[in-house]
Amino acid sequence: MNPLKSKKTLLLLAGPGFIFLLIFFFLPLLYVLIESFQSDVGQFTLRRYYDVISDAQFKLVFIRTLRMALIVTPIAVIVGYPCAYFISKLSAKKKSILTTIIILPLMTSPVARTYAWIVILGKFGIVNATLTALNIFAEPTRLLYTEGAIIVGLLQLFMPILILTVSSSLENVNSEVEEAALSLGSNRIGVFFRVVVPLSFEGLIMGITLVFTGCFTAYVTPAILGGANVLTLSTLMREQALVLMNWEAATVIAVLMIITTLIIYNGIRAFKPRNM
Amino acid sequence: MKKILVMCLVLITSFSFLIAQGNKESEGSDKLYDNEVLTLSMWGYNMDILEKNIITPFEEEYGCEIVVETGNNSDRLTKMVARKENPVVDVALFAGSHTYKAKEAGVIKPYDPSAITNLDSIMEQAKDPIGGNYGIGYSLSNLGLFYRTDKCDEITSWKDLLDPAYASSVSIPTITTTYGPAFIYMLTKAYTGDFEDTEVGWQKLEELAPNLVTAYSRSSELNTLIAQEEVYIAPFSSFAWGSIAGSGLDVAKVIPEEGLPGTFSVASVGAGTKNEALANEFINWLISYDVQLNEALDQVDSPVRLDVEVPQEIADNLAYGDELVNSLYFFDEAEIASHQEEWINRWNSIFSK
Repeated sequence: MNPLKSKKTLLLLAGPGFIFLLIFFFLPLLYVLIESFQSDVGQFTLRRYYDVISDAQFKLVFIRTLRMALIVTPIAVIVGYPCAYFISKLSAKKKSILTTIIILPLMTSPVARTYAWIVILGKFGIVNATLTALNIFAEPTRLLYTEGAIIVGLLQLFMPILILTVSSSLENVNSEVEEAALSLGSNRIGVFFRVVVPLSFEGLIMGITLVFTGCFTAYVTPAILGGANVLTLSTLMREQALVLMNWEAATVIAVLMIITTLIIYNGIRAFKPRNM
Repeated sequence: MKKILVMCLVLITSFSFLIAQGNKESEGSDKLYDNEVLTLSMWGYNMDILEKNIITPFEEEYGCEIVVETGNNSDRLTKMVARKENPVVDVALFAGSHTYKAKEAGVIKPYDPSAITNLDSIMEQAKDPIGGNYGIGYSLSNLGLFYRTDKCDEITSWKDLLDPAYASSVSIPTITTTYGPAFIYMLTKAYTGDFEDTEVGWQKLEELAPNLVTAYSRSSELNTLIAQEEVYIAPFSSFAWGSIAGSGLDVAKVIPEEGLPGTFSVASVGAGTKNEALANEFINWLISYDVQLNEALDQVDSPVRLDVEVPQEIADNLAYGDELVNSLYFFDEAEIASHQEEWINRWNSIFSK
């Protein structure tokens, strides 16, 4: 018997991580969940949910946050997947260099990275300078503090995560399978969509989930690039918790964010090919 | 051989440490609060200067040890409320708005006026800014108004922020910052002559909103916008003036004809303190002449003492001087807190359009 497969060994290997998650994630999460359904006197109530969901401001912010995450995620997939595929086909040395370049933005402070966007998208930034030089706009236009600015910032932040997840999944796809499909008469595009993509589906789902969740819950990027003009769920939650000290409303928002993420995650999994 | 060397080094280091500790303990002293620990809750800015001007001299004078918990107003207040049953903070330093919230949450208690011997030397408004002796204003700050002299005509009023000539070059503090509500009051005063009918202030904010670059929630954000030449005119927190003036741009600050909002950083005694006498001593220390002068000279805190004098070049970077102080309005934190939620919702609905 493989010693790594014995129950004791598995328990020893998984134990520390599981205990950590249990104490610092699942138990606080359970506490938050229970709290959100309790009234001030400890009775079960849906009142807090009703108050938050019926608020027009919340609806607006929820739809906006969801919209931005649903825009960023497909763009990240369309741009990131081919990039990941390309990386997976490279030699080990080139792969290592490109991977380092891709994760470089993740090593930079999100605040510094986001402030760089202020310089780029500002009134006198590179983008405005180019657009006015090309006579696309007569004068510098407002790019900062818009949903567009947040979308660009989120893409920069989360696309590397998708590329890394998908490329590691693509590495497990045996190139002989692709060759076999080609030899059986399929063309390159057919092989890509009917063989490569389904075989890397687990990685793709993980990448999409991470990108969507990241966008849906991001705080620093929307706070800096959206400013006061574009409130998102995270900035609204912060406002409720730390400015109004309304922890109940903040808790409900947190739970609704988790529920939305779980729905999206399971929705994506529904597209998984049946034979996988 | 290597192992033996490493072991020797570890032993020598351990012995040196133990001997040093022993010496420290045997030194002893006859100071009043020997070996007592005072826990402060304060911002983490300029800690090196605060150590030099306030903390180390206090520890030397009273023989106690100071432990500092740092963080922003909200984080620290949340922590104090969460630990209300087992409090650890002896002295809390908050902005006026959060001192009021701390009072309402029951995590601070009134100071002992008889222990604050320096009380008579400070500005009248700083003696009890929250009411009920729940804190002493130890540092003055104000919301100023700055403009680019090369881009704007002379600015004289809060009304100038709505001048169409400066559309898309204006920024203001968001409603959730210390000066957010005060800004609404100043707009109200500019258009009605007093602070009563804030509805007018809100209507003017609605007019102003489309012309804003953005509303900032941190002074550092405003500094970036000024440096990027996005903003030509904006209200600013007085402690940020050094950075604005140092931007290398043609900037000036003005006292508008309607005046400026002022506020204090407030020091309060923690509700469950076991060192109440020492906590009161520390608050008294904060408003002592030497501390106030040194903090002003280092341009960290603007003095609330009336007898502290600083050179003009330093005064320019502080909330300081008769002309400025006489132009300041201090708003009632209880009133601001009473409509905070409504005002935040109203603000969000204006900016989410």
